[in-house]
Amino acid sequence: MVTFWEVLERCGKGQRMQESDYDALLYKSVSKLIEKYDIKFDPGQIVPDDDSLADRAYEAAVELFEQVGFYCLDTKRVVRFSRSEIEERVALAPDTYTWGEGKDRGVTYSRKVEDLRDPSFVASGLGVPVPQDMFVKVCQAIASVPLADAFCGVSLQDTFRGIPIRAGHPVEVAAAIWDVSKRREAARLAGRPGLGLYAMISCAESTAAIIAAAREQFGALPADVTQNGAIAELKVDFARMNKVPWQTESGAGIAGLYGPLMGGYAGGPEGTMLTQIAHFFLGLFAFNADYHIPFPIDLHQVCNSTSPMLWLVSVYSQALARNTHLLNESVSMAAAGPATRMLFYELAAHAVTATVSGANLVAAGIARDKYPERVSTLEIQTASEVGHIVARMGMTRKEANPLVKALLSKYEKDVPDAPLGKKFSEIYDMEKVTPLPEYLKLYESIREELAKLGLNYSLL
Amino acid sequence: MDQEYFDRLAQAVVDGEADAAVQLVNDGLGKGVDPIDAVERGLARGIMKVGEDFGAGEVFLPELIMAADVMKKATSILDEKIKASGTPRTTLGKIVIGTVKGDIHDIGKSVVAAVLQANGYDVEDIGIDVAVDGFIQSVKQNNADVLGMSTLLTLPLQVMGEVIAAMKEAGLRDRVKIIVGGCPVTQEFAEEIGADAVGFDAADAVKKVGKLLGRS
Repeated sequence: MVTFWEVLERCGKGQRMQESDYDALLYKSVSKLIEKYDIKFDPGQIVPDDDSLADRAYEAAVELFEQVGFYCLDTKRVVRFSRSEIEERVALAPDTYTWGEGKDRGVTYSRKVEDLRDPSFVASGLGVPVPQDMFVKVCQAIASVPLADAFCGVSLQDTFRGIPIRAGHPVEVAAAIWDVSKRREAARLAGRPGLGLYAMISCAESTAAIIAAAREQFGALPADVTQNGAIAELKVDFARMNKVPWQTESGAGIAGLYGPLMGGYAGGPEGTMLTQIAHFFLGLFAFNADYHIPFPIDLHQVCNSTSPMLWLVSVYSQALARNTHLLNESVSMAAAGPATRMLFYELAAHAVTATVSGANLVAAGIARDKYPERVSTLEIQTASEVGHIVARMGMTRKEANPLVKALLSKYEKDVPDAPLGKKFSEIYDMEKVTPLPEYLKLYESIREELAKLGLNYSLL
Repeated sequence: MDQEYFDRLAQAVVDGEADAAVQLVNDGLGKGVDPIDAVERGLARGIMKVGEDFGAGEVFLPELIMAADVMKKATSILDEKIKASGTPRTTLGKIVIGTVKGDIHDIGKSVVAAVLQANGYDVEDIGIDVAVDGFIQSVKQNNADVLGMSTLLTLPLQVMGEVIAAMKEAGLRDRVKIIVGGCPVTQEFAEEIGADAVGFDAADAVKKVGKLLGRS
């Protein structure tokens, strides 16, 4: 097997190329491959039930990664792998990962298309900035989502102790330590002290701060996970790879984080779908990833809840589920904000699509993942329930397709001007850390609506 | 030169054909085409078409960047002739744009740069991971009308405020408009650090820059 050390050597020996030439190479390659493998987005088939399409997508993605590998920004070199090296690395990748400990332990595992087993579920508000004084309460609410196998919480807003947090600044280290300890405190307050952290630290970019904070004495559990993010498209740098030796030798969980941009260097939904799969291979080689967190995003709409994006999620997930045992933790990225019907619909559509296509679930990026305090829980809870129901009903892709289209018809036209929704403090009782009655009422009415669309809530 | 010539020039930009565009420009100059006409009736029409199609999701970033590259190569030849003629080509404004220190993500910034160029602005893209001094120097060197700063990450946000403070110290702030953008940038943040506008996407950035410069 090609080891991380061999990968580092190739970073110094691969074909030298300007970054813009690599971008052009990627586009040229995906354009040829989608034609060669006859891959075409069909707006009528958001959740395609064509096994051949999934298998062609996987073959095309392997060929793509053979051709373009990944690009090392530090050395300006293309790092390539042969088909047999890719196949071997995929075959030797983990097929399960266990978060947390004790009775709060959660397991994620490789699922198959139309798998009857529940998807694993991560409750997350990662990316949504929240000020220091609200941080624990919001994280506690997220850790309280009943079906969560792991959680993540939110991101600490831009200051700590009143000092702006900057990468490499001493306050970054202090904020990272505080962040981990408060997430663990939040899990404890939610009555789930052993609930695993699927992304340990929200406010640190530098490896030094992450390593400093990821200690048991600050609340980190041995299986808590740190993320290594690739740069769109198919690029890495040493600042991201330099966590790997520590992660590997300390036994910390490693998540590969990949957000290809539809409309960007990989082109439309077809090319971005292939690039999404290729990022899984990048994660294995460059990061030693235990599991994978894909969050493809529409470049213009900054979400993945539109028809082409859900098609992309479905096809890449089917391709991986049919051809590998890689752990696919599919992230929903919604346009709408908290306590809007649209947000419930967006997350439900993603949950149906991803679950029947063989993925596990992470919910959610809310309100395009950028507005302070725009985070909520009952929509996340709905996504977890929908995923579990769909699997337990044994829903097929053929059955899922009209359901997803029905959900899309309720919100897709509103994506460009999606409502921002309410702030957490407007929908939660901040003393009890419980949803306010009006918000609960909205959740109940959505449940009734989803039940009318065919979801059997008695299976929960 | 007839309309067909200018149409072919526009089409070379749309097709991302740099060699063809350069050839057409040189042929045109040889036959006495007014270089300002070549830009305005030919190249600019092409880049604007690509910009519109990109906004509509009908073409993707690589085509937009290729078209912007063709535009740059062709106009660099024409600009020399225009300068020599003593009649400067008018652009909508000079914009310096970059991703701030601590962030190496380039896509959002590159999209905005290309779309601004597609809408008639003269854009100097100074790349990624740009430190405070880098922005200040480039604004001075290019005599910029607008400074654009971008980041995808939360932590480098602070750098934007530092650049604005340094612009004030350098005595540049009063004559240069500042627009910020990127995933974590909100209206509130932009106001807090003293930016003039926030571009929520490429089209919004074009609209806001136009407004800042009194073009719309």
